[in-house]
Amino acid sequence: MTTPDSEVSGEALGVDQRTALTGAQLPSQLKARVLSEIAQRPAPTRRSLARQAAVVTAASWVIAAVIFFLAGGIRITGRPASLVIGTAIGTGLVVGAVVWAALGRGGSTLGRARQALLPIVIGSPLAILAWKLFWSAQYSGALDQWPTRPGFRCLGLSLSIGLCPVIAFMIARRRSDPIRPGLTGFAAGVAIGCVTALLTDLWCPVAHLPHLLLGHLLPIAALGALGAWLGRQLVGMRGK
Amino acid sequence: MDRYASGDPAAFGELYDALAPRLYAFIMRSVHDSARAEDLVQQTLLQMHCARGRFVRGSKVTPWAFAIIRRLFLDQARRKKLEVLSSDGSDDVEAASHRPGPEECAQMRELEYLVRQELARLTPAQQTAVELVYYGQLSNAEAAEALGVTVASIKLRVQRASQAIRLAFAGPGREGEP
Repeated sequence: MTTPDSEVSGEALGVDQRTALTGAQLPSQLKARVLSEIAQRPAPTRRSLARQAAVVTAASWVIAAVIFFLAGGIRITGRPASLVIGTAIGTGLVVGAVVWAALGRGGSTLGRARQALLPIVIGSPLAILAWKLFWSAQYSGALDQWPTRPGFRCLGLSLSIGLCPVIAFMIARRRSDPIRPGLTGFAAGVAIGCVTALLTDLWCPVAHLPHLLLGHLLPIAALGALGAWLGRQLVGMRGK
Repeated sequence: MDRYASGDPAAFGELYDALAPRLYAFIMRSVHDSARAEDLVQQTLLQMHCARGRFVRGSKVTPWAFAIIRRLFLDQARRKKLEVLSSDGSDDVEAASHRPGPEECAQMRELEYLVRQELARLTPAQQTAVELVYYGQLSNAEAAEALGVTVASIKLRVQRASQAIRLAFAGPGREGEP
């Protein structure tokens, strides 16, 4: 049992320590009832769930990759190779950070603290945009407008790449979050959206700001919103 | 929990012995009804059983269990539109049998009644922090994990709550004092 490192004792707050610590009121027949109930309800072990999650996640990324390569895959389209590689490296670093923060759970079944997760999740898309603009500005003409490419094709591609992985995440984590499933889903949606932004950058030569906002940033927000909604529906732990 | 998540069925008995009394004592503070408290503890342990495969290796089980029971309690309260924080000050009849003497019992009941009154005046975030840390006997780190916030945030909430309670007890003329 732990002692809270605060100034007020449990007694001052009206805690009957005997009751709180020994649980003297706990009915003796409850244990038998719980054990009998769990015997009737087989639950998957960690290994079997991990296998299921790996299969679902891998399948979703294979679908995403197929969509990406069917759309044309990596396209240089007259850009200097250093522009494409530099953009991808910077974006990749941000993507690595947000994927680590949002899709991992930081060694806790309940996931990372809200205050630790939110800044990374909200800051990552902005960092990706800032890096794209900064790096493209080093090359003359890279920020020019492409009148025939307002961004709808990038929007469509990003959403179609990101949809399956977002759904796969929800399936892998279903009924597992008792605290804030909406935030968990939102973070996952944004992280997956950032991965799609990396792929879309490799595909799309345009770095004009309105195009980037519509075609590269809006899909991240949309996948985040979808993730938040699906998270509340699927990831939240609910009673009977 | 690690053993149980890996498929050792015998580990659940140990898990029950370690958690059920604490969960029961904690939730009794909120529901004041032994049947409902039993039901919530049972549901919590069943949820833990069903979700055992999602338990992260090496993570703490106590914050997870308290987060689940709190979620189930809030869902149930929302569904039944229960007044979670309002209380008539009455205690469970069973609890009275564990109390030492009439005079001490009366003093403790009075103190508890006053504290409950003051707790009800705190913000929901402060109330939850105090409930987990004092009634649930969780450490600040465990309470922070159970609520999905930082340890600093929990410390701040508990500190502000205790300051508010101390001020209320120090000040004259509390309303509704018995």
